[in-house]
Amino acid sequence: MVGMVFLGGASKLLFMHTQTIMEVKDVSIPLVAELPRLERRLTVLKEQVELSELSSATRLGSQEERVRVFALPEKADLDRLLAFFEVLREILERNGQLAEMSSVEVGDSKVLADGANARPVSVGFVVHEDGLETVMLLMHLAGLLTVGDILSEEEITLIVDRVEQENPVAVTTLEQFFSVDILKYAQNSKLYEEQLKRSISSTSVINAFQNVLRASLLRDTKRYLGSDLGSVLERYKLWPLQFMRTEHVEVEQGGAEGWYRLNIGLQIYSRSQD
Amino acid sequence: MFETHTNKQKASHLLGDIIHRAAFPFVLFSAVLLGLLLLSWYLLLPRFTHVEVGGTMRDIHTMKTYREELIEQIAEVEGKRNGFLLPVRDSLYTVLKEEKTQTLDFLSLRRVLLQAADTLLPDTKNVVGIRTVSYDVQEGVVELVGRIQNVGPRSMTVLAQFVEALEDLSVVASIEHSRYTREEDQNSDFYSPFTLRLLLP
Repeated sequence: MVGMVFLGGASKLLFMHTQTIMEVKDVSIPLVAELPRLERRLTVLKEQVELSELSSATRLGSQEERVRVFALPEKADLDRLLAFFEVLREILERNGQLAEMSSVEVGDSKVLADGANARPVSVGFVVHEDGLETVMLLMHLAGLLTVGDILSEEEITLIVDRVEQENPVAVTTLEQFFSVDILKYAQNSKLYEEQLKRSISSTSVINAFQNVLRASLLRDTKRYLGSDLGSVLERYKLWPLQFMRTEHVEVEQGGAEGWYRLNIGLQIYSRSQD
Repeated sequence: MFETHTNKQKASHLLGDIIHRAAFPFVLFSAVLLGLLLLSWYLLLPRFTHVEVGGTMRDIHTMKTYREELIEQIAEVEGKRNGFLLPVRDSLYTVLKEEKTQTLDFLSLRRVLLQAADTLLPDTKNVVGIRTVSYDVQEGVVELVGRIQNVGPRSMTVLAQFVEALEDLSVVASIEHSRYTREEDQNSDFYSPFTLRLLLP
């Protein structure tokens, strides 16, 4: 009886030995290969966060301030809004891209569910194709501050993943690129792009970066804000614009080739009731 | 009969003797085997199955737990790192910005639609004459008003091709259109007017 018990115990142990050896082959060996990689990734990420914390203290504060003063002020700044449309009209007319602009109609404000305040604005133009693109680009950029704000989440993820694979430390330079002011970028795009490319040596990563620049709204931003329009907006301190969202757009073919009647309905946002 | 009974008794005595005599060696053998396997389990096997990872010797179960912990930490630090990529943390701004960037901008949308129109019949110019494009951002609806022209009597066929080309676009979820007609203008040229409502994803 006692012998049978001992033999039963020995059989169980033998079975456990076999299982353990099989687990070593199927599970341990792949884990041993994977764990150092995960540890390295965690170390790299922690280093990136430390570097970012050091460099972003000033940057964060000033960006937050720009949001509060310009993009989402306490109240809708109608003077600034109207000044912007006046400057826009002047520049587009000077460049032969605008024939006519309607009056700017501003409606009553309403409080939204998220606590923001919104006022409807509508305006119409008779514009050439370039003028139409300029106006619509500015409506989309209104309220956005940095290069990173223009890019989509997919575009940012693509660039970050590629740069991180090639040189994890270069992600800090990428952060700096994303935090460049839109107008500054439009006026000096080569400077900022070259700064980033210097921290990347891989041709494939640079190509991926160039593709994103070409395909995204950054290309239009460089083209239209990099011109005299950007300089004038800067001179009259009309940039950054207050946050605006397009609600509806209508483009109708004009009488002449390449000319259009453009009507836009927007909402302009502020933090609290006017 | 008496002999058979005696033989059976003798056989059962023999079996009993064998078992009795083998009992002690059997117990001894089982105990030694059990002892050796226990020693192997606690002393020998760990030397071959424990691995040093992160400065600590780990068996397979602690390695699995360590892997899960690493993955969790990586996700947390990655989230923190991504927060620095787009530096503004103002919550209202972030919400409004996300709403804006998640909606396709009119400039990009119009370009995609015009390209679909321009490339419909590359050998023929000005086939799709779009008179009006209107975009209701809240509803996610684009309305195209125009006509198919310069293709003679097959204008309705080309209109159907245009609708198909628009349906194939990733920016278009579905199209509402019911009327296919062919008309003649004052120069006796055929054309097919359309009003298409494109529903965006």
